Amino acid sequence: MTEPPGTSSRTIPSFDLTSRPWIGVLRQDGSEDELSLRQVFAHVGGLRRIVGDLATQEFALLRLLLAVAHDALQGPRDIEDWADLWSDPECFAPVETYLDTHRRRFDLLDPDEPFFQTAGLRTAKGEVSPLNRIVADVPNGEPFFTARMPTVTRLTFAEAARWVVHAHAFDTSGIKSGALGDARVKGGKVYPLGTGWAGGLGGVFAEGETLRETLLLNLMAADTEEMEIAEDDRPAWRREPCGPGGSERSVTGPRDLYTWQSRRLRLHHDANGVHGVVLGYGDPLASRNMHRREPMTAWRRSTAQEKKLRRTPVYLPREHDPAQSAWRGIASLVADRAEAAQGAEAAKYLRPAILEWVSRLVTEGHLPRHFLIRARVIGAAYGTQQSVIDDIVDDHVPMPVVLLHRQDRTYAQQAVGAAEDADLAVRALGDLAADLARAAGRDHEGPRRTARAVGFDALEEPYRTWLSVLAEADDPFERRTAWKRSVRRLIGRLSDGLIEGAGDAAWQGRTVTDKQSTRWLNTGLADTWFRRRLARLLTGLNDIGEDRDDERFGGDRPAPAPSNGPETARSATTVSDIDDRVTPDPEILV
Amino acid sequence: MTIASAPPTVRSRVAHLAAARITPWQEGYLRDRPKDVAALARLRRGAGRDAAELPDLWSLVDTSPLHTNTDALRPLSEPELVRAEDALHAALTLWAFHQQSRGARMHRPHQRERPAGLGAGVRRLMPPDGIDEPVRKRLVRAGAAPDLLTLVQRLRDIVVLLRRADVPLDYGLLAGQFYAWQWPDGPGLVRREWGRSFHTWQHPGPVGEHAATSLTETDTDDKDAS
Repeated sequence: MTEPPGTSSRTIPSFDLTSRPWIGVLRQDGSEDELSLRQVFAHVGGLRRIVGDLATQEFALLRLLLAVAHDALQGPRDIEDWADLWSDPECFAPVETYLDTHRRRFDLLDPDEPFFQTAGLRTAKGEVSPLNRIVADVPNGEPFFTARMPTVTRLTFAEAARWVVHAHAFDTSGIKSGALGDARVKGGKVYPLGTGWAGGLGGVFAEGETLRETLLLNLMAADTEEMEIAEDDRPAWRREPCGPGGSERSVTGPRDLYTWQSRRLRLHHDANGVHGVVLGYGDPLASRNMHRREPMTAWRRSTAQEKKLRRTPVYLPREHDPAQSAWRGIASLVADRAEAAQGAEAAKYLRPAILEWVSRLVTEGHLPRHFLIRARVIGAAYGTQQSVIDDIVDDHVPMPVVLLHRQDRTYAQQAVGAAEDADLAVRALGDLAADLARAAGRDHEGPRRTARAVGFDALEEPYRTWLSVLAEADDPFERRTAWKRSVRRLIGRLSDGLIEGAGDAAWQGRTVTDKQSTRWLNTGLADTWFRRRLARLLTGLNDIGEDRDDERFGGDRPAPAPSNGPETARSATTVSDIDDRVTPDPEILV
Repeated sequence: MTIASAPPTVRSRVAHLAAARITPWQEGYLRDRPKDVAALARLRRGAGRDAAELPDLWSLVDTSPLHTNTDALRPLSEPELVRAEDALHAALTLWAFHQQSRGARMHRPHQRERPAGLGAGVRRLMPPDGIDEPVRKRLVRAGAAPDLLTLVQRLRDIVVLLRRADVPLDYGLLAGQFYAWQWPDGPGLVRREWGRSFHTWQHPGPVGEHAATSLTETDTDDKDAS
């Protein structure tokens, strides 16, 4: 196997990605399959979505399909063009001819122009790396999450093709072997140049009912104001094949970015499959201020970068936090670009242009207000110097598109507000756990974190459910009020558990002294603080007249069980703020 | 406040009954009516002692409302009845001990503006900005009592202090808490009420902002530091 493949074969090997199955899909009926590029587009209405070996692969493959679609359809030029596509079940028919035209560049094993690879790529010593280099094992060292542990010795051509696409998008950084002909090589190596392009993004796209809808929803028209798309924007297979070195050039648009050649690769194979890879750095691209080029991520202003570069604004992709579910970041998904800016000041955050585009579709009436999309959120979180993938974020927020409506912002505002309600309430719960731990003289950061995690978990499904039916409500304010009640009930229930579990040590408490006074920090004080905080958080100034019972949190909680109903009545002599809380009467415990 | 249409809980019936028994005794005692002075003396001896040891008190304390069986009130089960009577005994005797040789009412119904829960009472024994450590320890010890009898014995020590400072308690409320105490999870529930009573008494008016936040670390989750 020392001979580079493709140079000595009598029968030229071939793996044509347009006709050989290699893309994993989930059909509408729930079955999984592998399809060729042609088949994907031919059956796109019957497919639910792409299924990758990892979520990041799904993201990378979707972008590849979008590049094909944009290029094959030469558009959409504008929103009317898009509307024609949306209403035409056969809209992807031109892809067939397109793939015929570019078939040769879609051959994974082509000796001269292998798909997404560099023919003849080799290091000075001719080393070939094991396939682990392109097969991402996630999280690093935790074999439960990878299909191919402990080592990958061979891949089928289909698998290898998927990982090649993935490598350009999500490959880790680190020292890589230097290819002959690459000017960046020092001592046989190339020093770290960063992750693949998509690795730096907090990936976001709009997902519909079928892959057809998903592709179309993310098929942004060329006249989109927020984006700069060159006339001659084109994907990698309509460019000269890459040599071993990296070229520094500017981006022409989404087709270019969706197929950006972040790496240089060469697969080593025999007749039965792939057994090695040469992998090096490709075209460098910095994500700073790419918000008018890259539509599939939210952006945040970086004051640190602004100071350093002495220019403003500077936007960086807003990456996902693996510890935070997507619904908690809903503000960055639905906040309007225009409304986020305050006066002349540039907006602190920009929502993903792809959602900006969906917003345009609903604002201009091409999508009904109740139309439900899922904002899919996919991203890689890298560890030590970006040389390993620590975690992968794969989440979604189902939302009615009215949330993205530009004129009618009330729904979006209530949706964002409701997520904030949840956030603040969970923080209060975390503070309660910390106070209880402190009262008992224990470390308090652990309990705080745990309580928060439990709180967010408890609110996640209720929030998603609440959000998905928000568009059906006539009055989003009323829905928000109902949401606050749910938060109060759910978090209140968790707080009861914390307080009951705090035990004797927390009851005994400690006396603490600060500037003003000495206090007895115990369960009672922690409880009192918590209820005040929660009451204050959940009775916003916008809700005058609602729930003004600061001292009596829990009073509006419905009886825990119907059988407990009669027991919630209070006698004339024991009515007090102490007794006011509806607690299960001890007798029902019998 | 009137009783809602739903039947009252056993706890509230105990509380109601305790207040109903104490009130006339208290009025009579303050007017130096011999019958009531004598009753108080008899009750006082029972403070911190098991009701079963004091048969002479059985006739003094009329518990018949607990046995009432009308449309609105269901008959109590045996364990409920035993616990209710013990709670009543504990509250009444403790009150008598508290009231002894005081010229003001030591049983006073709790009101929001004038809290009379046990926690609030103990708080009043302390300086406004500080914690009296021995008093706090007494309350903590009481809260950790393993059973009702121990609880009442420990509260007796606190009542000595309350009596000296002329601080009244709502003995109806306390009777209800004695009842609740005897059930599983009851001690936690009652302690929670005492704790809240203790801590809310300090701020009967609008809540001071610093009170709710001074010990809580500010949230430093900065998701977007770069």
